[in-house]
Amino acid sequence: DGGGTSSATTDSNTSGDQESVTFNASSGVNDKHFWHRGFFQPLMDSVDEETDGKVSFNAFTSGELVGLGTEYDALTNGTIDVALTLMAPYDPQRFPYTEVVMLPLLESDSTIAAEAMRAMMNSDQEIKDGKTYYQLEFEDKGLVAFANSPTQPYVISTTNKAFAEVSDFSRDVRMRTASRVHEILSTNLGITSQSMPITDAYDALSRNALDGFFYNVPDWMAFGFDELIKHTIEGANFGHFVGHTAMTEDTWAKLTPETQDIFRTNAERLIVEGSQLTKDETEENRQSNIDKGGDFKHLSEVPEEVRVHIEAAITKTWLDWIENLESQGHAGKNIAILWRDSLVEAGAEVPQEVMDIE
Amino acid sequence: MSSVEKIAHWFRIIGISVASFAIAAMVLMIVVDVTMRNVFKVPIQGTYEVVQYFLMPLAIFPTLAFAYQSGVLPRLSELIEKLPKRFQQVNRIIIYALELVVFLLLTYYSILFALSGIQDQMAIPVAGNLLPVYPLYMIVPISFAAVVLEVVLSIYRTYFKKIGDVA
Amino acid sequence: MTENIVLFIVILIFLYFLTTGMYISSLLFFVGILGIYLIGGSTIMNGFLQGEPFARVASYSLTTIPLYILMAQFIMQAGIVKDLYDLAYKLSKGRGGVLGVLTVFIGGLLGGVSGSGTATSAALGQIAVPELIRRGYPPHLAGSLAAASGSLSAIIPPSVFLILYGVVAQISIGQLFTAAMIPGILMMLVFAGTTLVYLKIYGKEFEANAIKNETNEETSVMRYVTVVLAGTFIVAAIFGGIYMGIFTPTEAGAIGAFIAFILAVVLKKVSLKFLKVSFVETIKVTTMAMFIVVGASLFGRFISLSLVPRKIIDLLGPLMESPVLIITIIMVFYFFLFMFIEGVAVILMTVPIITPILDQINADPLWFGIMLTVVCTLGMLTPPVGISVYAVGGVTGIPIERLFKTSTVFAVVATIIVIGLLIAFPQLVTWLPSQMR
Ligand code: NA
Ligand code: NA
Repeated sequence: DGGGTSSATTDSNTSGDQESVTFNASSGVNDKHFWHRGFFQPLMDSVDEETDGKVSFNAFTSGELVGLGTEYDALTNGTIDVALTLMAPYDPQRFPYTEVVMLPLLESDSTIAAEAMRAMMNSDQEIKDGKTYYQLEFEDKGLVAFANSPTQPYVISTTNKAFAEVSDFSRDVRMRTASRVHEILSTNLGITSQSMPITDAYDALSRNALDGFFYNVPDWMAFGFDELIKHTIEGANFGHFVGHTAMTEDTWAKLTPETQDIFRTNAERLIVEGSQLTKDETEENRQSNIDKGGDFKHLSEVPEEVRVHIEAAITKTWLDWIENLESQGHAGKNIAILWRDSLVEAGAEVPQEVMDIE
Repeated sequence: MSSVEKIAHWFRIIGISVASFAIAAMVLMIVVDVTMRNVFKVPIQGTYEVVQYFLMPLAIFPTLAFAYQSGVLPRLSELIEKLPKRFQQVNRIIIYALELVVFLLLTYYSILFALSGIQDQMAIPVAGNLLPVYPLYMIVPISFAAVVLEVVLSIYRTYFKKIGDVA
Repeated sequence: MTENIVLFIVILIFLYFLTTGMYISSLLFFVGILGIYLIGGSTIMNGFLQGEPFARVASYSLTTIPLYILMAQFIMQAGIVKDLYDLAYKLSKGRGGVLGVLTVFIGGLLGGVSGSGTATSAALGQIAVPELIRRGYPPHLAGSLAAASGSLSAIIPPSVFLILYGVVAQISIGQLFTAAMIPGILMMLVFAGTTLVYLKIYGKEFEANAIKNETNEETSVMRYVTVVLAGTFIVAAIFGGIYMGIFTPTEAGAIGAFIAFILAVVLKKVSLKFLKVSFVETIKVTTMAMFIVVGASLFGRFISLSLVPRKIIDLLGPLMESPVLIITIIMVFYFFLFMFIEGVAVILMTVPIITPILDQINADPLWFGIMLTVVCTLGMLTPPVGISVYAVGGVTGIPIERLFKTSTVFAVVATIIVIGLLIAFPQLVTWLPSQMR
């Protein structure tokens, strides 16, 4: 048969410990996305350079080889060597804990979330059965994973309808959501969530088949959303999306300890640099939307009753999500507390009721 | 072989029925969702997911065997029909053999796919809850196995029957 | 190097079994599996074979295929389109060209509500082809015209290809939609023109057929009024619904099928046979199309893994000094890629590697994307993998080879004229979006 080898080509090399390998690496986002520019490409480049080309990558982007969200299966059945975009929040059945990053907050940004994510990945706090977040979510599945740079906050944006009073939050307002947490949040806000690939959102928004979405501002211009969005509320942060770059432990074992160190050091450096990149691109997208008639309101500027309504929904979403996880036998409360504390430590703000969870 | 014919026949009938039901359900579900959301301002949650993960697979996979056997699948036949009969026959055997291998492989690997889906209890988030989708995975290997059956029947019809007739 | 040899062998095998009558769907599966195995071994093959079929089929946007075909079945079986063509024929005093232009126009109209060409080609194959043949069109011309008109859905917005290109190249999808309008209309003109030229060539045969098929049955004025009202109602409901935001273009397939069904009930056409025929025909063509979609996707994975498109594009390096030449070569290259590989796969595997070249020669990615989509649309008409043609062949029973001979002429003519015009006058693409800002 074909030898049952992975797609990585290996040949022995006498000049060093690390044998030459070429990994097939798959990303579900395109090569212009900040994840690619700020994390994947620099990571692959620096590993390639620092190993003198012994570890190199064939990068497939935009889901060319493996569709976005299906990377975990592709890793485990050997289709690819490296998943650049392992999207745990899309797969809460098998990755119940990473979804915690989508929980809504008040103030934070991508670099704060990057610090918090780095802390949570390295945390030795026991979450369940004496295991840490990293062990439960990745090690138990035979994976080696590195958190990608988090996105800027997801904010709530609408086209025609503005949330000027509490009665504007009604079931006929349809918001595109990206995760189960947003579905819970939508219910708590009193609006309807609609799951839909982000690629369909432009068409749906422009034809009024969708009233708005939860999304991060730096991604707007790429999809043309800056032309369509009219109202955005800032200062209520509806979570950060975080993916992971991952490989199986078998693949990881093909790297010498020195190479593993190179990989790890660069990944931990780039999570922050990548988050800085997307943060820097926020203003340009924001301004482009304002130039086209968009309006940004801070949570502190909206009517009191609306602010109270949103904050109540934020708090209730934490509680509902924790209860949901606990009812499935997961340690929802422990992971929520770990994420909250990592965030606050890094400089984020959450409602007092969320601080009170213990 | 006639009992195999019967099994294949029932596969087709059941396949067509399931698929017709799935397509009709798609139409109704979307129409009701659009109506509810526009008239009563209350959309039905989960239409998108149910249509994508349940009704589409149910509309397509069960009728693979029917499509294979119905003659609707396109192929180029002009050139081969001009070649000698003997060559045509040998070529046909090779094609059937290859198809048999291809669909056996697809059956085998989709069994693995279904098993791993069951093991992981694959589910998708809908309106804040998890909706199990793995039971649907079982129709993939069954459907490819039905195509294998059709290929076997084609081979039987083309050759053994003829040989039998000649004898 | 081994990848090149593998690719060469696999392409030879592909061509052999293509010309000796293997089903296209089986063939795509076979060469896809073989190629992936030869390049990556059994482990990687295992991965692709497990997940690919379900992942391809479980798609919300592909519901347009069964739903638009079902709508077409209902409309056709209710006799609405037959009478409309009848009316157009009588009003044009028997000039067959009008029916051809009408078909292109209906194709363009359907293109404005449907995102993919497969479904609309099948729909036109069902509703227009029998009428065109009855009015004297040779079957291959009627079928190719339906395939070409149906393929317009792939360039006239909304379009899955434009959305995909926008996502991969990070260009505003709204701008792409606006920019595709004029080229879409250009393609309609070219298809209509090509049909008229064909009719001129077939002049005598055409008239003879038309007279032979002339029926004496009188259709009442009341019936014409009914079908015109019914047709107008369907079109108005679908367009109105989409543009007023009542439903999305994808949902429009279901709404259209539902409305057509209600009309059939009102016109007293619904019977058990009506339902049975509608569903069985819908299932046949849908499953055929999806069979090919899954096989083509597997074949596309193999081409991706072979890294060959990347290597070919690398060869363009020395030509950087002459942008027009490069763009022309790229378009010819795409024409051949889209002959063999399904559109989505081509865009995913080539756009990320071609954008750096575009940057170097300062080509506008908006302009390039529209040209790419034009060629992609025409790839649905060219052998060996021409899904629009298969869809029409599937619903009409016209032999594929006869269709391909004519549909390839449509594709080549449109490529030369439309791409030629877009290279010579990029404003055809850029002007409309610039007015919208
Ligand atoms: Na279209
Ligand atoms: Na083609």
